[in-house]
Amino acid sequence: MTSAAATLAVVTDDAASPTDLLDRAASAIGFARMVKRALRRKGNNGEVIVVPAMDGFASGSPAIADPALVEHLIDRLYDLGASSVRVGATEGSDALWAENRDVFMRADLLGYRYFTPAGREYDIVDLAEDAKHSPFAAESVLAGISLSAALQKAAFRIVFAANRTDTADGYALTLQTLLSVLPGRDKESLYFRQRDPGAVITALLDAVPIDAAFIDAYVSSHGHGGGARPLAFETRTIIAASDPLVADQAGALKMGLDPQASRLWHAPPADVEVRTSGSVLPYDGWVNVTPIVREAARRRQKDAALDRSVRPFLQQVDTSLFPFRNEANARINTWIEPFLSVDDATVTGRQVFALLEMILAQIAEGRAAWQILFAKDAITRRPAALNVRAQDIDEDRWAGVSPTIASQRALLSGCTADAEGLRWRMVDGAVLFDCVRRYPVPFDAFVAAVPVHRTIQFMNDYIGGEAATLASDEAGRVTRQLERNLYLPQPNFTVLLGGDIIDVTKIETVHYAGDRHVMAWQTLLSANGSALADDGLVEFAAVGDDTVVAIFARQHFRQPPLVEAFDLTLLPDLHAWLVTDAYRRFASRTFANLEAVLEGRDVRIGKPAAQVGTDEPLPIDGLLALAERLRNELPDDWIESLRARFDWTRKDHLAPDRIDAHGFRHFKTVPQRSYAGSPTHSAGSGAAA
Amino acid sequence: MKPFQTLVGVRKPLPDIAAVIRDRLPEIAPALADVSHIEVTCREDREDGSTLLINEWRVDPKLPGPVRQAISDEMLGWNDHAVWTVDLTECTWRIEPFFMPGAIHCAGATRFEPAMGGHGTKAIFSGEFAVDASALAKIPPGLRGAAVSAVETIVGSMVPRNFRHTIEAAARLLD
Repeated sequence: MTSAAATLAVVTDDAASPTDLLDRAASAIGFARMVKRALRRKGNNGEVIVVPAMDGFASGSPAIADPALVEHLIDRLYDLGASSVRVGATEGSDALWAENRDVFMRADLLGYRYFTPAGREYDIVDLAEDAKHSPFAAESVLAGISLSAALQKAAFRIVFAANRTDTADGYALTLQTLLSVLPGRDKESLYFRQRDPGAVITALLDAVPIDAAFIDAYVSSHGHGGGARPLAFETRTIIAASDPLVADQAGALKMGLDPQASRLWHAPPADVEVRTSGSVLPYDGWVNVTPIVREAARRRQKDAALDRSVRPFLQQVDTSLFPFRNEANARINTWIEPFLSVDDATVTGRQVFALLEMILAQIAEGRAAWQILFAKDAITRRPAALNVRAQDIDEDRWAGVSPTIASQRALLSGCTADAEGLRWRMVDGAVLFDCVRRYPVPFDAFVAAVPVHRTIQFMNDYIGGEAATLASDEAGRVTRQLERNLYLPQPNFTVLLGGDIIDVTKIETVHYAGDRHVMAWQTLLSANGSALADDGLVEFAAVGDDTVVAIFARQHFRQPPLVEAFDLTLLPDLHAWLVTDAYRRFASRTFANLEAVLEGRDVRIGKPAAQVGTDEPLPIDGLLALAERLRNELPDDWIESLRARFDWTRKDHLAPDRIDAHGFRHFKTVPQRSYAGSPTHSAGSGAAA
Repeated sequence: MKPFQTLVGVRKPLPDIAAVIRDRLPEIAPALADVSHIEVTCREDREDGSTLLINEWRVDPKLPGPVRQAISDEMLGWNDHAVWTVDLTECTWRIEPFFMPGAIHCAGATRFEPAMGGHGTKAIFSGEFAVDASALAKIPPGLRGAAVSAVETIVGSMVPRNFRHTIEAAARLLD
């Protein structure tokens, strides 16, 4: 956690040993004083947890914190009075495709010896094993995610990063290393694709403040390939700070990067005074990941299946330590390796790497567009934790929802509905529309099957979100709730032009009368800026023996730049046609969804998102499992069987008498044996398509 | 000759895991895919403390129909001749398949090292595999080299994977 005053030391000395640099950097930030103060605190357990960068694929890799330095630091911690020191990490997604990647074996193979140079023992712990309790609030981006008990209870926490570039974020320093405390192997899905990684870091730092951060920049990893293709570069520097944000800021500046290059970064509060010793001038000769590769890597990473498939191909691996689990990955990795060599001498390698990343990014976006337009069930749903706090919303705001929506709806009065019950108009750049559908279902049955407070989740193209009930009536029905909704880009075709997911957080009030249930909502926030407004109302009303559903909304979605560049209102007929078409689709599909919910059918699109504790197999493993199943289930003579099926020349195969213009095959009736043993004869023909 | 090597780490102490591999192999068999059973046909505790073991492995792999028809049940398996050092840190082995006896050479050593501060074990399995091309009489001479290379490559990746499964199954036996 950022304190009012932070300390930072950047120590560079070509003549000094790595341990000497570490001692000098620690001394410059007052490390001994910090540790002693923490260990003197009342009720502390005297334990220190060190979280090192341990995601390398070779012993001595510059992409990991040097284990010898970590062990040296452990000795210092014991000297300062720590009762026990543990090195903590969790498994990453690489454990799905490489062997020996569990925390313990990986630590051993990367050089951790379980005892220090001074002969003291320390332990390596898998921080996922004792993650039973979630310290995160309900509105946290990490709500429901458990964290290691040892990490939560530790008296002092240290992150020890390697100094390395990163293909997607420019640099991977202490904040990236901190992510390794989170449970779940598929961290890219859990903490990058499903959540805002910057918000994840903020939540983590709030829950388990980091007391000291180190960056091992004695031998760094620079170059275009980041941690996937580490390229050793001697920078003979150690960076130490009392705050990981301050450490990363210095680390990024030393690389010549704007710290904002990383999605994990957020600036320390402006009022923090950073006492700095040493220089943050960039390293001479440092090679960064180019912005074009960074951008391409991020676009590629959005596609979970593609990203998970190609990581084993792109990663440089010492296979004598970490063999591939899958022979296909091993072969592709071996084949691709010579093309991707990214040392200073091989400009071609860099360019091939950049080209490959760009091609993968195009494939990822092509697949996303295809899924949104034609294969919505292939889309992965997105959990999206609430990103507003109930206590920040005052009573006036709650009370104002219904009247505000009613006055907006009044602006539609006088508009004529079309044949399908839709009417709309533009007001202040937003589309105001409403639509009505009558269901031949008694009101009581309808509202029992379709709870009005969940209606938004049944709307067309909903792919994720979360709702929190804040008040209920005496019957236990929700009357106030906060809800975050994610929808596919609207209209769907805008995905082809760069349209983004629509992400809106809403305040919602629900009113119940005997024959009328109404929910009204207003936009509080759009985390990705995709919506300027998405307010509305849904009303279920009893009309005779039927139920009438009315939906009103005021929507103003931000369109991709290419669409914004053309002001479609200059072409009113085209604009009207597009808006009418889009809202007709929305209305008809939403009403169809409500009908499906009435019938008890699941209307959600997409497939479930990755979860902690359940690993979705890699696509290639899925294919191999399918091949194995076919191998087991097909008859041994399947080739012969297949051939026989289509071999019309075989004598025992019944050939059609004729094939008609519609493709029906006509056969002469074959004489059948009667059970009495005498053949029966009949004439005529049968047909099969 | 196709060399192969693999390293398997388990979170079980060396004496425990190595002893299971040496002494309880028949109990591991049910946990291994395609292995019907393993039988110790010979055990000799030598004066120098080393142990000679001959384990008979019987397997029932899913093979393509024509291949399966060409191999009788008796041929599906091998004798594994192993010599263990007294401290259980090394096992040298040689495999004699029942199929094409004399034409297949497969031998190597398994080294066990303490790992994870004594809490675990590293098992390094290395060896080499070769097929005598002249034994492949049914394959046209011009294609035998390629066939031998293909078989060696397949076996070279299959054997280490099966070794990993054996070590992991042994570790489970200790749980």
